Amino acid sequence: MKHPAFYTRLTFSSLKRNMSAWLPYLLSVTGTVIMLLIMRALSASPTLEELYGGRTIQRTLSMGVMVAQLFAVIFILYTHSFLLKRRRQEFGLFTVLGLEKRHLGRVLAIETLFTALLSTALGLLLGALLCKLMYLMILRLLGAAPQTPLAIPADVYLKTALEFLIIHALTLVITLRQVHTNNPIELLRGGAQGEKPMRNRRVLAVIGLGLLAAGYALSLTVQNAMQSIGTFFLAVLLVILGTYALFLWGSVAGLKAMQGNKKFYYQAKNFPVVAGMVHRMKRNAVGLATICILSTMVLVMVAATGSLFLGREDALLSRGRDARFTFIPVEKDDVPPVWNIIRKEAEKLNIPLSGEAGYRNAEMYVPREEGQAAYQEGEGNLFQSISFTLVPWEDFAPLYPKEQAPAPGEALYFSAYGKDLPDQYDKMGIPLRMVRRLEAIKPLDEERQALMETYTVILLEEDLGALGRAAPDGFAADLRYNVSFDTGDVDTQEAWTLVNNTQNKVAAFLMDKALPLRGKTTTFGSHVALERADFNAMYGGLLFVAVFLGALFIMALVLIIYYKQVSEGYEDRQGFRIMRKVGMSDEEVRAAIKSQVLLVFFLPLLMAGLHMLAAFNITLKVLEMLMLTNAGLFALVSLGTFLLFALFYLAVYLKTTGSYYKVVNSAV
Amino acid sequence: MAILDVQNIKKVYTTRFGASKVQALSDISFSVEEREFVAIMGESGSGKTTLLNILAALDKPTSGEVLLDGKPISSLTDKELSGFRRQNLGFVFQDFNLLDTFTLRDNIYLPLVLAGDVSPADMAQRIEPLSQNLGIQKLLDKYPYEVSGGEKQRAAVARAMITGPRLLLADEPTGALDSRATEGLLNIFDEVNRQGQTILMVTHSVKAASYARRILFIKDGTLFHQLYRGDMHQNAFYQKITDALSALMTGGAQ
Repeated sequence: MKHPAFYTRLTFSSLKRNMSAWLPYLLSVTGTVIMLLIMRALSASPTLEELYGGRTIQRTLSMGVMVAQLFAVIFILYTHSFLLKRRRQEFGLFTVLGLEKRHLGRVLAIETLFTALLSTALGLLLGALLCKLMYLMILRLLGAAPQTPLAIPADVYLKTALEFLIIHALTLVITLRQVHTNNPIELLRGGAQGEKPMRNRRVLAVIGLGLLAAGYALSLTVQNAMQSIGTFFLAVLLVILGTYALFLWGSVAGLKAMQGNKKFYYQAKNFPVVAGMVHRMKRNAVGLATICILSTMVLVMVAATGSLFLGREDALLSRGRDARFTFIPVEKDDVPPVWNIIRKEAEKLNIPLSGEAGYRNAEMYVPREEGQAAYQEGEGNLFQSISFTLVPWEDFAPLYPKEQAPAPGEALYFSAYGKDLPDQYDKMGIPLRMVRRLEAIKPLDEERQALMETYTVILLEEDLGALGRAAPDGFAADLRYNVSFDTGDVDTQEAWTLVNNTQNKVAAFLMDKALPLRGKTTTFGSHVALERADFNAMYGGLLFVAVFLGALFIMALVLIIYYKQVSEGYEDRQGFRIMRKVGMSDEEVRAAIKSQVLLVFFLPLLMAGLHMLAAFNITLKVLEMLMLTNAGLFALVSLGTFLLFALFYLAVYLKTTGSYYKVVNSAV
Repeated sequence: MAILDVQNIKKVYTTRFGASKVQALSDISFSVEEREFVAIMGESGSGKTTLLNILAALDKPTSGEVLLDGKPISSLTDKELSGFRRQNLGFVFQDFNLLDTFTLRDNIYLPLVLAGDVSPADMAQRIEPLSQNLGIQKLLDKYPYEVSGGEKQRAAVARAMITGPRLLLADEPTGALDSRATEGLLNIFDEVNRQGQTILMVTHSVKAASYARRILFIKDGTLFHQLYRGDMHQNAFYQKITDALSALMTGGAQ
């Protein structure tokens, strides 16, 4: 390239001249880099993985990253289009002055490279700093000591840098194509020419509604909590694409309708506004759709996190008694010594016991489909089988003296979420008559029943033994002994000591007694205080991610609205000046601007509300995975979030309209 | 009664830091009767655009009075001024000032829409004869960037006239037009003037001025000469104007 210095100088002088359009673009791109880096860093950081529930968060985040990528592409192309429009005149001028298209291409390439490098470097740096800072802040808030700083693997940086370089290359291609296909005269006219008016493509409406309907349907029909995360993101993708398509079609159709209605169109406050919008229909639609989607993301995230936060005690309360233990294997006459150990440990710590309850049970899995293995290691197990907890009547009766014993071959059962069992149920290995379904009662319902279909079946001890012999495959051979009792308030340390010591002592006792055939004992123990600590850790992690992302999205939202208003202000400025000369008063200008705001303001908000409604079911299912089952709470928090957000949105819009007004009135 | 009465208009600009005063207009007085076609001629910097801006109520004089139909413009509040301008004056600019976001039709409708009291049906009725007269009927649904300069200016004239203004003001209307378009536009002015429209045109083009019936010459902020066309043929009038200008240049009366 001859005279490289010349091209570089030309590029930079051009950038300086266009600073008012280029700087916001640079900032937007940098912001997007920051956002994507943070999401990627969080989803890949080994530090986060160690937090309780961290892996779930990470899995969610990596799917979120894909959505964010799509969004980043759309967003950058959108803001780039503003920049391009303003520079068209300059390109035309260069061409007229003698710069050939390939020279212009060089200038643009240098400029894009510069922008790309600057924004990516800045974004990566700031993003890393911000991420680590927030991590420390949240840890501080939780009262946990920062053990290790947030580690961000190197390939996160690389991947992010790479994808943004690709996006920038894309913008360069688009710009070059424009320069190439337009002759200088058209470029010189640059700002004057609007977008080619889009034809009212019904196809778009069909596509848009179809995608939306699919997304909504997915969301509303999700039953299974485990699958919900994957389905959630698929639904999100569908809704995003559907929203864009719908807004695109809606803008065209709406504006054409407005122009058609002469009574409406030829009013002073609507006239300039509608005509102006016709000229930037596509860009307007993309902007509005983006605002809608960001708003929805903010709404859903804040509502979900808020509910989790406000409802966290609920999840613990549903547990029943404070302390629970399970010991395997326990014979009938081991029971009193075990209780002695428990009582002694509690006494040592001065913890009063109350509500002591204990029962033996066996666990069994019945495959849903014939021929499938009933029990498999790992998570797949949960879907393939129905799980049964079998309790001998003897242990059940003292806890529930009002119930009557079943006859041989009969059984009682209850289930929190399962369907009714048929009267004659043979699948467990021996024929059983299900006599009655009981209400789920504590302490026997303390297993996490939300996630799978589980049944607690009460039957006579001899039937239990018969089952054991008839179905060795799905039958966990040893009987467990479940203990629960209340302790009143204890602090985490005491709870831990109690649980730990009790487990050790009982395990030692059982080992001494273990029959040579089995040779293995297992103990589980937990206390509400410990679970609360765990929950807080998990929620802490979730809270961190959600608050952070929420803040990020809100910032992006405000930026977009501001950017849209200011850019449009520059475009409309000339028009308003002329209209003033023709005889439009200040008041009328204000009225026109107000009507423009009103026309576009409500739509994204309404649509976001609709999306939020559709997402209610699926978000609830995801929340259930995190132990929140209080749908009422979620509904209330959602409503409150929406109202608060609407107010915030209104405030932002009013403020940015002020900026629009200022730009429109500024000297040309 | 004169449709326009200009009395002792003076306009002084103070530069930004109050350092020096520039007297753009000093003591201008003249009047325009109904159905007249008047041109104001002067070189650039003579103050003619300033004068026109004051007449169009886009600017206020430092002293003096402008009366339209006997009513002083200065008595109007800022709010009333826009409405006044819209109803009584039609303005044709040198650079057309058409809005690119509107079709030519909508551009022409603009003052009526702003007035707010004309129904769409009425507007359609009004534009019919006007656009025919101006020869832009077929172009009404095109956008300004799709038509030529001459066609744009004709649309601008239609916009200026659709409200039926008392006075049509034109600021260098032929400045951006080629000779054919210029002739076309001036013929139109002639025609509408014949039909009864009062026109006041500011120009430095001799050709444009020769279409008027009366010419006021302005130099350094004062009116110093006046020419009537009377029964003269246009070419003779053209010659007379040229003579007056050369006399002006040389500084002496011949």
